[in-house]
Amino acid sequence: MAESCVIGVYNTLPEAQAAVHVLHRADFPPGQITLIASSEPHSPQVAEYASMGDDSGQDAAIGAGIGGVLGTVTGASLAAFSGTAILLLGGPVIVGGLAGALVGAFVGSLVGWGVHSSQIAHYEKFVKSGKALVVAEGGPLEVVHANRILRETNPVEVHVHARDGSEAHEILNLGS
Amino acid sequence: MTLDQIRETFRRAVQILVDENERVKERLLIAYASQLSLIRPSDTLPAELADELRWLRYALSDAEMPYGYGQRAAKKLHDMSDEEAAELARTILAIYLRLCEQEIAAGD
Repeated sequence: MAESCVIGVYNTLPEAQAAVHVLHRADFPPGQITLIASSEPHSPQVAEYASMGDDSGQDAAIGAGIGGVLGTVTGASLAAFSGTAILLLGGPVIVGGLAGALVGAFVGSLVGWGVHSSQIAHYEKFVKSGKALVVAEGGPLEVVHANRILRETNPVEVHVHARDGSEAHEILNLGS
Repeated sequence: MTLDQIRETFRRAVQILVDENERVKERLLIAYASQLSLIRPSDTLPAELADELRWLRYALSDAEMPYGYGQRAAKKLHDMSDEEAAELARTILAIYLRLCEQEIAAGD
């Protein structure tokens, strides 16, 4: 698994989906993009998408290369995750419509992509408040490339994260 | 980026403008963010094209430009009319065509 990523925070799910589309058109590897949103009542768009989902979500998600991240979530959470609200959107990009208790677990798994543990609560708060995260992970050059792209797509904020020799640290703060 | 890479970047931007199904503003955002934003000010272009590219960049995203308003493409496009966006799309096509003309001329 890559140990660096860029995370864009978006006010709405459509804005986040548009950002994912831009990354696709830039030939950013689809299997390295993840869209995370909450299925809480304040996110009716996700609930709507979730209702369209099916059980293929888990297999698709793992096949898309995010199995390593999901693996940090407990088995029970993973089952519940699969059973509730994963939707494959035209490729290996998922919308995780996560029940409240699972939001922390899934967002917490971002540590595997180089996000410092002290930053997790920051992202968890965003997801729980109805915002959507676009995570693009990869090598340093891929992440810098994705960062330049996401900054143009009206994110609330964009941060690049990477793991160093001691622990994961945020290396850049390139807010929009 | 080399001139060939810049030409290819413009070709891909034009392709996005042509084959996306969205409104012109959305197509322009995708074309700029995914392609043209990756051309750096330090990349070498013929002088007259460099001026046009600078103007295009200023119109679409001036956050990193001196005396800019600090706005990125999504915000700039949100605030402009469809007609203004269409004019910028035509500018992208025109720059691409001139890049192609230069390639042809260089091959003669």
